Amino acid sequence: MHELVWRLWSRETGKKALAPLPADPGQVTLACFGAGGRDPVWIAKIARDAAGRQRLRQERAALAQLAPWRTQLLAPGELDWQETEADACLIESGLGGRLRYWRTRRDGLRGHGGELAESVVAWIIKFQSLVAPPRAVSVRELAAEYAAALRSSPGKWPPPDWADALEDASAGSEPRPAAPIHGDLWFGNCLWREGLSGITDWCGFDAGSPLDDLLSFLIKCPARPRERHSLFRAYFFEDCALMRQTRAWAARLAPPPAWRLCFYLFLARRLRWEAGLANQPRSEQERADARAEWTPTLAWLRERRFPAPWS
Amino acid sequence: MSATHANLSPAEANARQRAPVALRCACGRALPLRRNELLCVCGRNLGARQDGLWRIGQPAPYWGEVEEERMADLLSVCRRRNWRSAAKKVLPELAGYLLDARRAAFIEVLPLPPGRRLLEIGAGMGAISAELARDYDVVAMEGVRERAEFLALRAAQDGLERLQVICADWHLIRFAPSQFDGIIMNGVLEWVGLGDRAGSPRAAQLRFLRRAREWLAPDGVIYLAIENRFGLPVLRGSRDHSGLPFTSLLPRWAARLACAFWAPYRSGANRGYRTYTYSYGGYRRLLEQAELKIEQSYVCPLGYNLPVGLMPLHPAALRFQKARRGMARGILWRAARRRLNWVWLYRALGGDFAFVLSAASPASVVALPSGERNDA
Ligand SMILES: [Zn+2]
Repeated sequence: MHELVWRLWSRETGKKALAPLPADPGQVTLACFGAGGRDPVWIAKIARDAAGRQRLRQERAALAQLAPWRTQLLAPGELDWQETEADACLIESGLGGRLRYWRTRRDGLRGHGGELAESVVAWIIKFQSLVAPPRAVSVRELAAEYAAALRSSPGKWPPPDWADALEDASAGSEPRPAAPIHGDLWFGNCLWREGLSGITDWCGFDAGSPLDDLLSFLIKCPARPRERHSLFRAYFFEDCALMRQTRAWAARLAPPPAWRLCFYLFLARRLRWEAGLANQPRSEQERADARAEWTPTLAWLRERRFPAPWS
Repeated sequence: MSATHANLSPAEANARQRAPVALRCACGRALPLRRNELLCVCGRNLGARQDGLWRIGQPAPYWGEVEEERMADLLSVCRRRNWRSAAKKVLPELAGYLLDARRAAFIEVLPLPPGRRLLEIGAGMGAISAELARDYDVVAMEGVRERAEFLALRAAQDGLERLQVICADWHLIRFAPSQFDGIIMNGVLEWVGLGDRAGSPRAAQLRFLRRAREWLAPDGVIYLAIENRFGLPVLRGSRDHSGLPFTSLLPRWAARLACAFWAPYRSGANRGYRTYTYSYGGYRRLLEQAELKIEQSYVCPLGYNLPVGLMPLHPAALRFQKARRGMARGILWRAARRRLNWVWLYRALGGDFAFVLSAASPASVVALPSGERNDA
């Protein structure tokens, strides 16, 4: 047991339990439960490789910046931190609630699913109004940064014309500052109890596209891999109730002229991450999976010369 | 874990680390494993160290995953070149198992900070001990001479200075009491009845657990990993420790009868049916009788030889973990079954259990005459 984890564990009394949670490779995540409690008292994240330690440092910096608005933003707080030559360990307060799932249909997110998405949009708006991005950049500077990263990708994936598409979208847009983003907002990082009760995993906190968190939440929804491509089209490009619904949400976060750049900025960031070009190394297998998942969608967009969403 | 563990000052912890591991002579004196021989003032010779391996008493008869001849081949290749390449060459099918650092992954939930002293009983070819010796002072005990020699070579070639290897029969060796912060028993307890044939296998297991408890520091913990007698793998017909399927499901007398017509499996001593496993409740009763308290219990979803993703048998923790794990697959299916009592289900049908145990009440520690005089 990591020394820091052991110190906290020793302080818990009564019938307690530790649950190892699924974690990124090279990282260990443990949730501690106290006597009778239904929520974790704390969550420990331990990283032993360089990339994992870097992610923990980023998460810690994010928690520090969020601390003044922690309760409003439903974020965990830092309880303890230790970094040595061998590893890094971050202990966060546990958040209550459970994961919730829904089914996305072309006739729109109705009832339960719609309520969840509405709550998340409201949360994003609150988040963007309270917190400053951790670095002051414009979306155009970000576009140049992502394009350079995509061009540096070894192999032919992501396809090189993606960088061109991004720069094309950037050239026609007004300069505007980037927004703070959670960076990995999806249903697996949202906890619910009588409404949204927790947002976890803050290691992706950064400046980014104002639509990043919304699009990430929509795209990484509970769906079978086979459905993903058709859902993608329904969200953004087909005349259906789902598209009208997501357009209304997008309008609350960015004005229509900015949509095209914000959209491709999000996709570029997503691809950069999934190709292992940023934040977290990816295995060959993960890269191959991401490639298989994204190829039909990217080809479809390329055929249509990278259209603007919701038009 | 008792409160004293947390209260142990760093100085006290260090003092314990500095004192070498000691055996207990039949005369009652403690003999530290310090020089290369273990001569007691009473005249008894407990053993000696040779080529980095402590040989204490007679080794156990050979048994193991591989035949004796191949094990001999492996050792001779290891002496000429690195043990890793030797293992890949001689035992390609086992090399992954021997090399996988994840076999020690349970250490993440074992409440012992780095630097403490561990004893692994039945260390085999050392996958767990070698991994743990990066952060802990480890004593690896193995009964079979060939396996212990392999482990000593492995430790020497990898420069694992914190790993001490002892070749001794677990049933005969006596450590001085209260000196290990952690004792690891990974797939060991079920075999105890083969080497200790006095009375029932359960009685042998109790004796074994009580001895381990005596060696445990007052604030120490035991990690015990073992099969569920009625687990799903068993119900599906996987091989029991007898070498036959379904024998653990039978009443013990019927299992003995079934095994009477069956060649010994893995060990010449595996005759009759003496490899008892139990249900969760059965382990609880056995451990209670051995005055051990279950601090944490888990099901090992991938078996105890790959203790990753351990599932805590605690309602809130298990529910939380399952919710997080379910993200990857079967989300809708999972949501429909949310109301199931998972802890009960896993206790009943989980394949392998892992327990973290502490001494239920302070062990009666007998003051020993010091063995220091031997070293003067
Ligand atoms: Zn003596």
